[in-house]
This record gives sequence, C-alpha cells and structure tokens, in this order.
Amino acid sequence: MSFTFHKILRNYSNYPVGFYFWGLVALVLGAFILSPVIALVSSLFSTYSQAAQESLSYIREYLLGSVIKDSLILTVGTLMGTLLLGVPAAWVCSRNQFKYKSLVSALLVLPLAIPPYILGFLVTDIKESLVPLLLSIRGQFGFDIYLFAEESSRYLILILVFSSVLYPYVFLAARSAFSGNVKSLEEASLSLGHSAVATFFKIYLPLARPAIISSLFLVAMEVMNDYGAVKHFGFNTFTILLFKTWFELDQLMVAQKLASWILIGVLVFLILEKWQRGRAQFIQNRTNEQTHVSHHTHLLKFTQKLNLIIPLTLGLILPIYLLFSWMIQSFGSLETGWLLDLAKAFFNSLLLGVGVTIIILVFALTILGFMRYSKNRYVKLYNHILMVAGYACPGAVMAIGVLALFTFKEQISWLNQINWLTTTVFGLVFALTCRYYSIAAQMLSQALTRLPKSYDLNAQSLGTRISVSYLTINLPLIKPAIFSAIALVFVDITKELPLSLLLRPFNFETIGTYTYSLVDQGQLYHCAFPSAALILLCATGILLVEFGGWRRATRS
Amino acid sequence: MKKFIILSLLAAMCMSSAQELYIYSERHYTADKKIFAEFTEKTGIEVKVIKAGADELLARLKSEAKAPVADVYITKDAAQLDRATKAGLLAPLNSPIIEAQVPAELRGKENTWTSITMRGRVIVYAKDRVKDQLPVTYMDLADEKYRGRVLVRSSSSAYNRSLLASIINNQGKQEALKWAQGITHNMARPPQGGDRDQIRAVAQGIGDFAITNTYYLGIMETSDSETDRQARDAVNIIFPKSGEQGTHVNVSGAGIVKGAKNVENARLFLEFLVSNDIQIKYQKLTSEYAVAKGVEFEQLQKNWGELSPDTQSLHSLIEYNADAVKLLGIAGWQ
Repeated sequence: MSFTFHKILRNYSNYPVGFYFWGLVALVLGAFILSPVIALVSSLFSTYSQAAQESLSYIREYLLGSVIKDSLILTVGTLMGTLLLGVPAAWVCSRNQFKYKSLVSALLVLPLAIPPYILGFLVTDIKESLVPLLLSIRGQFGFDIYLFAEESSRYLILILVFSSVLYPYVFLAARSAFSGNVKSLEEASLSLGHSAVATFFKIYLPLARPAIISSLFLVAMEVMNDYGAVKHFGFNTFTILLFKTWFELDQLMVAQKLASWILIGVLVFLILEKWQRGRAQFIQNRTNEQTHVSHHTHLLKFTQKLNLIIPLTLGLILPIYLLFSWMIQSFGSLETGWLLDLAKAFFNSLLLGVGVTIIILVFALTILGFMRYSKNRYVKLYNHILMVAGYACPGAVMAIGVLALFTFKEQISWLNQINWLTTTVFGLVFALTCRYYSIAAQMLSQALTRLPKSYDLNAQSLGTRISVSYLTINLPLIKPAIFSAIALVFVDITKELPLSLLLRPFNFETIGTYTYSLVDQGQLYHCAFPSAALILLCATGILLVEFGGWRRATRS
Repeated sequence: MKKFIILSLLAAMCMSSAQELYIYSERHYTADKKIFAEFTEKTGIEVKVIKAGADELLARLKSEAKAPVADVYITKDAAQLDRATKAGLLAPLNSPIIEAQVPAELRGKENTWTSITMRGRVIVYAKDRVKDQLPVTYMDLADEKYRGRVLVRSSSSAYNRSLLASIINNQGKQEALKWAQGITHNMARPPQGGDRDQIRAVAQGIGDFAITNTYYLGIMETSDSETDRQARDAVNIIFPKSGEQGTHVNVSGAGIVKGAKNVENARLFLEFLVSNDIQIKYQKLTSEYAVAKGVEFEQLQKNWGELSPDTQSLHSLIEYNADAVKLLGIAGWQ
C-alpha cells in the first residue's frame, strides 16, 4: 500500500516522501509555538461569569487610566533615551577607527547583561538622595508642585535606568546600518551642497530607519515586559496590571482577555509600522570598504568621546560601582545558607537556559530548513507568523497564554489526571520556548537567506538528499549566526523575570526570581550577590556574541 | 523462615528511620530557622521547610489535596488560614494543649488553625514635628488636617488589605471607602517600599505619620544599621482604635494539612510553637507579640504602649478581603 502511496505522490510532485514528513514535523512544531497565542486570542470569544464582568469594569474604571499613562510615559521616554544614547555612539563607532575600538564597541554592548530590574533596585539610594531637594521644593512651592516633582523625578530616573541598559539594542542596529557602504550616496550628497550634518540626517538616518525602528520595537517590548523595576518605583504598566488581575483580583479569565488585547495591540502596531514604511526598499550594497579614518578638529573629537563615554558611564560604570558597594555593604549581614540558595538558583537558571536554548535551536533549524526548500507561499506565511508571534508577546502575556492552554486542557477529563503539567518545569520551558523562538528564528533566517541556493542544487545534482545537504553544507556555513542566536536567547532567558515568576514550579527559583524575592522581602542590599552572578552569566554570553559570532555574522 | 527474618528486619529499619515534618511556610524570618532547629534538637524530628508566597502555597496544597506532601501550613495572615479551611485543606487540631495555651479568639473557629504570633497595625508619628492633634482612631488619620503628611505602603500589601477588611467589619463599607479615600488623599507621596521604608521616610521628613506593623519597630530598634535605629528613635507610637473596637491585629498562624503523613509530628510541632518558652523566644527574636495565655510582653514591646487587640474581626478578614481589594482600587490607593 505504501508503494502506491509513493507512486501517487510522485505523480504530483518532485519531492521525495521524506520531505513531506519534514514538513509535517515543522508544522507540528510551529503549532506548539503558536498554541499559547491561539489560546489567548480564542479567550476573547468566550463568555464571562458575573464576577469576571464586574472585575473587568472595575479595572476599566479605576486601573486602566494610570496603567495607560505610566506605560506611555515610560515607553516613549525610554525610546527617546535609547535613541540619544545609542545612535551617536553607533555613528562614532562605525565611521571611525581609533585605538581600542573593538574593546569599546564590546563594552558599549555589555549593558545588555544587566536586567532593568536589577539596575532599578541599585539606584534606590540615588532616588533617596533626592529627598532633601524635593522637600525644599515642597517648602517653597507647595504640596501639589512637590507631588508633581516627586512623580516626575521617579519617571525620569526610571526612564534613565531603562535607557541605560536597553540602548545597546539601538546601538547594535544603528552600528550595523551605518557600516554599510553608502560612500557613493554620501559623496553625492556632499558634492551637491549638503553639509556633513545634513548628510547624516538626510541620508544615513533614513537608510538606517528600518533597523533602528526594529530595535526601538525591541526596546519598547522590554519596557512593557518589565515587572521588577516598574513595581519598585511604584508605577503601573500592563504587566503589573496582569499580575494584579490574577493575584489580587483572582480573575485569571479576565487576565487572559487583557493579555490578548495587549497582544493584538502590539500586532496592530507592527502592521502599522510596516504599512507606513511602504514599499520602500532599504538596500545597501555589501562591499567591504574600509571605514575611512576621519580627520577632525579637537572639538569634534571631544564630542565623539562624549558620545561614547556617556552611555558607558550610565550603562556600565555606574551599575558596576553600585553593585560592588552593595556587595560590600551586605556582606556582613547575609543570612546563613545564602550561598547554597544562590547556587541552587544559579544552577536552575543555567539548566533552564541551556535546555530551552537547545530546544529552540532544534525547532528553529527544523522549521527554517523546511521553509528554505518549500516553494509554497502558505508555508512562507506560516513561517512569517511564527517569527512574529512570540516576539510580539510580553513575558506575562505569554505566561497567561500557556495557562489558558492548560485550563482548556482541564476541561478534557482524562487530561485532568496530568495537572502536574502546570506544576513541573514543563510549563516554564514551554512558555520560554514560545516566547524566544522568534529571536533565534529571525537571526537564523537572516543568515540562511544570505546563502545562495546553488550549494544545495550542486549537492542535489550529485545525488545528495536535501536534508543531508541542509545539515552538512548550509548549517556549518551559518555557524556564527547559530552561535549568536544561542548566546542571545540564553541571555534573554536568564534575564527574564515576569514569565518565570508566574510559571515557575514550586520551590524552583531562577537567579532572577531569587533576586526579586530578596528585594520583595525588604532585604534590598542582599540582592547584590545574586545580581552579580546573573550579570556575570549574561555578560559572558554577550561577550561571546560580540567577539565571536556577531562580527562574522554581519560580514558573511 | 529466611523471608520472615528479612521482612521483619526491613520493618524494623523503617520504624527506626528518622522522623520528619514537612512545612509549607509563608514566613521567611531567620528566627524561624532557629526555632525549627531547636525543635529538631528537642524531638529528633527533622524539619523540612518550603517557603513561598501565600497564594502559591495554597494553590499547591489544592493540587496535592489527594496526596498531601506537606504536614503543616504556616501563614502570615489569618484570612489565608480561613481560606485554606474553607477549601477543606486543614484538619482539626485535636490538641488540648493548644486549646489550653491559646485563647479561643486567636484560634480558628472550626479549630483548624492556631495563631503563633500576633502583630498590631499602628500609627507612628514624628516626635519632633507633631506636638498635638494626634489621631486616636484609624478614621482620624483620614481627616483633611493631615493632608500631605501620611505615609503608607502599597495597596497590594496583604497587611493593608486586612486592615481595610477589619474596618469594613467594624464600620461598614461606606465608612471604609471614606477612610481609604481619605488616606489616599492625605498621602505624602504615592506608596513606595515596605513598612520600614515608611518609618524611614518619616525620619527623613517626607511625612509626619506612617502606618506600620508593630514588629518592624522592634526589628529597627535592634538593627545593626545606625540609620534604622535613629529612624525608629525619631517616632512615637499610637495604638489607634478601630471604631468601637481596639487596634487591628493580624496573626501568623499554622494548621495541620488534612491527610498529612506525619500528623503526630505536626501536632507536636504546633504545641511546641505555642509553648511558653518558644513564645517568649519569638518576642525576643522578631518582636512579634506572643499569643499564649500568661506570657507577658517584653519590656521593649511594653514601651510601645498599651495594646488592646481587636481580635473579633480576625475571623471576618476572609469575608471582606475581596471587597477590600475593590475599595482600595476605587479609592485610587496605588
């Protein structure tokens, strides 16, 4: 019977059966990744109990206003901050050669190793030091002005905190965009009368626009995703609202509805951005031209140095100084057994990071491989959706999506026996995979599309199967990208907080949740040592990318 | 014959293996570690503790209901214990010792839990800046004359929720909402930090009044940090009345999990916790009030003032908890 099946397929296609099997596997894996998102969106159509309706209107009337206000102010502020910190530094690094350039470039990326919530905790003392100033404002200008000043100072400090650790996203994107070869355009612009400054704004910046906007999107997602820092500063964003709805109001269904609205909002924003960009193509020829050594006056050199020093100070030097002073301060009063707790959390984070990264890698390579050889446009659309789905989902939203999936399962009685699914690490692994799949997929997809199909065609003409040529020819060629993807996903998983807080199994701490719980219990300074461990772990990952994979990935 | 010898040897081995006790605890104080270690020393029973948030522990107990892992459930809030009782997760204590040691109003109504320690929620004020017009009740603090002078932590804190729940119980929803709105209106700054941060803020001059739990005062008084000691020194304490009742109190309590494997050990453990020696130890280590009859408060605690606890609203905290959350939101208490 399989013989005739074979024959039928042969009549309809040129592909061997194994290819369809690969496709099926890719489809199923993709379905896994999409399932939380689908579960979330489907919850929009379910009816709600009386209590849920009441909670929803309660939220709408009393909580939504401050949530929208805080979310907008913090996001827009951080976007501006990261632009101001990242773009000038990227310009300096891409257009000039100077001593220790590669070291400085790597250091400029390093703040990514610091999760926003940790820096948020570390600046507590700085926040406190503003109190005398605020009190004198109250004395001089009255209570209402004081309240405004107090709130504004908190917004400002938090925006600075976010900008300091998130600007590397913008820096990386801008640096990559500015490094492309646009010499001809630049020369044309200069010869037609524009100054160097005008050239920057009229040529370089617009060309870098798509890259910078994608990085700004990442920044906005990180701000929306943050739980620790925002809570510590007393603000309310959508993530905090989700936590509140679930834990304080005890309404998981309502949280699901809110989460799906957030997801739709993000997707709409993504689509709008793409539509606004229109059909313009941002092509840069990739010839390896040397970055020219600029001859600048002393004044310009000083400005250039400032462009580098300010981000470095805010994102690296200040946090490290604060971290060390807290480590020294807390050393005397640490609880017995703290090292064991920290080691357990560290080990958990490591295991989780490595495990999920491997799973994501396998998924991504399987799905992307199938997409590479398939000519079907639905497959390409499916892949496109997969690359956006997790990307557009803040951590808390993804966690609630996974829970929505499991509660749906509970309605099927025989699956009820396995409700341990939600209480073991499986839920956490599943959610992290779905959330961070798209990061790996995008990096690997970019690298794969740069490989010419001729390698595969040559191999095929010599009798090799597609799968074999994929594994033995294409994958080794994109090793730098694989390397970078592994490191970036690992760093993201280790830094992650809200999803881990919501879905971690009983008695399971990651370094992130352990650090957060110490601060939550009022032991602020004690978070220094776990924070240092976390940052070291992430910094290793980032340095591996900077020195190892990234350079070669962009040059291939 | 051989089989019988082997089997009986195995049985003997099982019986003489170490006794143990599993605890799910919401409390995370170093004092607990010391006291649990003392229990192990005294009885030889090994104590294994898992610490987590109240909701997490409750969800865990529910999912394990058919085959419980924990023997004892310890929380920081009476409402939580009542919630566990309602869900059928706690077994009756059946301990005459506990009944003799702890007054009835500090034990669960269905005899499923007992208090271990007690704490009051009081008002502190800046010694040097506030000379008159002191609030006598919680309601007073919501008055317009205290505008911009009150410091209190976030509404997400269970301590504040329970305080509001007790006010709902004593004076009704309308008054409770008025109180929440008044306090929010009077806040010197949007809520930030925990109770100790509010006391420190009073010392810094950000506000004149703060609402805090009593044991934080003791912790700061005996702290290693000079700033904390000075901050505690800068404030005086008021034990406010709640309507006609006394000061709002809440308790840390414990219950035995229904179907627990080590029920006898659990009972021994709870009796140990409410014994006079350990109650005195808790007072010394964490500055929480003892609940055992006849145990006198420490001098440090007596120096704070006279506590007349409002124990009757303890058992309605669970009833009004959800309302408290809503009222806090309506009042705009962040």
